[in-house]
Amino acid sequence: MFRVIDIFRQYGGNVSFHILALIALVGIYLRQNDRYRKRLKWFIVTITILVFNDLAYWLIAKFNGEYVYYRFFWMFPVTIIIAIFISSILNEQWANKKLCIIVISMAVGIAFIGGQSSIGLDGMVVAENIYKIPDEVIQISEILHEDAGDDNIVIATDYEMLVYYRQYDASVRLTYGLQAYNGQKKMTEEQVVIYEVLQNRNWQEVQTNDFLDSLKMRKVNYVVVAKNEELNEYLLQAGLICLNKDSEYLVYRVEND
Amino acid sequence: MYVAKVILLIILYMLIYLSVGTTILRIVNDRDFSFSKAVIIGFFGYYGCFQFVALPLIFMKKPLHLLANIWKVFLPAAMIIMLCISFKIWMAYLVAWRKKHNWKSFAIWILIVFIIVELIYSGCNEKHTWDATFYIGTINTALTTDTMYQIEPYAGIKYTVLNMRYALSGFGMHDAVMCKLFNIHPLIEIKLVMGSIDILLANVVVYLIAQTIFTKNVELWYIMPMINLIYTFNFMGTSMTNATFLFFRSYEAKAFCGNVIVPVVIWLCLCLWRNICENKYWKLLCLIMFSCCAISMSSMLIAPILVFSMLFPAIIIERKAKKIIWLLVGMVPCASVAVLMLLYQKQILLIPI
Repeated sequence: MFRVIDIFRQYGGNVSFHILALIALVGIYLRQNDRYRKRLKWFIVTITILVFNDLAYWLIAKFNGEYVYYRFFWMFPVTIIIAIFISSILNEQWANKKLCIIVISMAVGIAFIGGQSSIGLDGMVVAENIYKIPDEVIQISEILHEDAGDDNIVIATDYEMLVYYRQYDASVRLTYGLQAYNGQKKMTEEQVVIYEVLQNRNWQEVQTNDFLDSLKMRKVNYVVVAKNEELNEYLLQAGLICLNKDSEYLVYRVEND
Repeated sequence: MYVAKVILLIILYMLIYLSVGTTILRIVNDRDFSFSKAVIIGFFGYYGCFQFVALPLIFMKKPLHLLANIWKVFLPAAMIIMLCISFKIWMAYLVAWRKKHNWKSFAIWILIVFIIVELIYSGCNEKHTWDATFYIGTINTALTTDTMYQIEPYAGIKYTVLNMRYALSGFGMHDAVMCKLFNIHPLIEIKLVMGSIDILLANVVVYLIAQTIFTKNVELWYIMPMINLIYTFNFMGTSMTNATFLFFRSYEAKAFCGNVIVPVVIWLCLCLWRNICENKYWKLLCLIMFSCCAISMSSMLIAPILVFSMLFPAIIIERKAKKIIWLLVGMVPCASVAVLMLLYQKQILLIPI
């Protein structure tokens, strides 16, 4: 039971609406007649037996992975429960308009004071374009297709571009994908070499020849990387040709023999 | 230009859901028609139908264009029939609606403004996750390679076996089909169109719950979704809450699970709590249980557990043992998908590519 309580605590983070919803649920329960109280009571008992206990957590974690357990808390719709509770108070006091306005004001006040708006999570990032991806992705795609046509394009790139690129342009293959997220797990030797240079920026430890060989082994014909003077020099030394010199992201062609 | 296309597509989707929903409500003989109910039921009915068509083609590893061509013929033909069925019902409902609701009501307009702000906020917000890379990459890869779930979307490498974890749900391929039919980029279809649809439906469900609980107080039908919306906007403590999914990742199937599927199941169970013998709600519940896996694989366990927990005790309390049959029928689709998933995970059921 304790593991589940821990996850429930983590679920809402600093925002204690989930605790508030528990109180609201008690409030809703007390306002019901016997018929609905019985249903509500047995519903809570059943769902606790089925899901909200450590044994169920262990089973679900085994079947689906433990990182998905939090989704079961969606069965306890926090904001809807709070809204039902507040609305039921309003419903009872409907004739007293002043009191209703006070209740609504208090509810709104609690929401904004006690809550954390989406702006506070990571800060709202306003989309740069209609595709909701960075402009650089579109520019890079244009440069690649202008240079290579629709030929088999395989690119090696850094972590940031990995996340975005194939959402916009899936005609291009990447030399590694999710392995980058998993910290080089399941990468081949050549992929590790490429990743060390482009992502970890450890080019001092990789000979230019080895890097170039790794690119060719993986059939990479373009390298796309965020602008960096030293890395730029390294890539040029390796024999790559820069196609755009003035952008934030640089595109290099790999001359395959 | 793009914004107009997005708005038109959202309207088109809503019209499709409304027509499908109206037809289904007529089939189950629900005389208590409402637009909100029809849209929600239609959403599930529509993806349920799509699943019927898509799943065999996905398993047979047919190209995406074949599915798109079938849907291009089927959808307009079905829409014409459904619009003929629905039009009279809509007109009659509109007349009755005007009498019951007061357009000058402050609450309606505030709710509409709130929802528009929510749509704009979510539409302008840029947030990226590896999940988005996977989902949108899958659709974009399907469109580029004319395949379905056969290529790993992160890097574009061919799978050795069909990825059943996602291939059992036709929801993603529906986006690919619509992108093909309307010639739009998957990023626009998924992030803007489907993201907005999720937000709209999430509000409609709360409206339906309010309607069910506060039957006599019409004003509360608008006030309750408003309160819910304010709290949702402020419930972003972690990336796990359904509210965070609604505002940041509303286009993902998981967001539909947390913000549409779960509340819809709760709404239908509340209707059945009121009258466990009402067969039309049992039929609708079975439909939702069939379609929920087509929309989001996350609901494969969540929906049946929720339904069982809410309705099994109610059946026992009311001593209506026969209704257990409905309950079991409702569980079959999710249980079947769960079994298939288990077989896939144990590497017993593998479809080589």
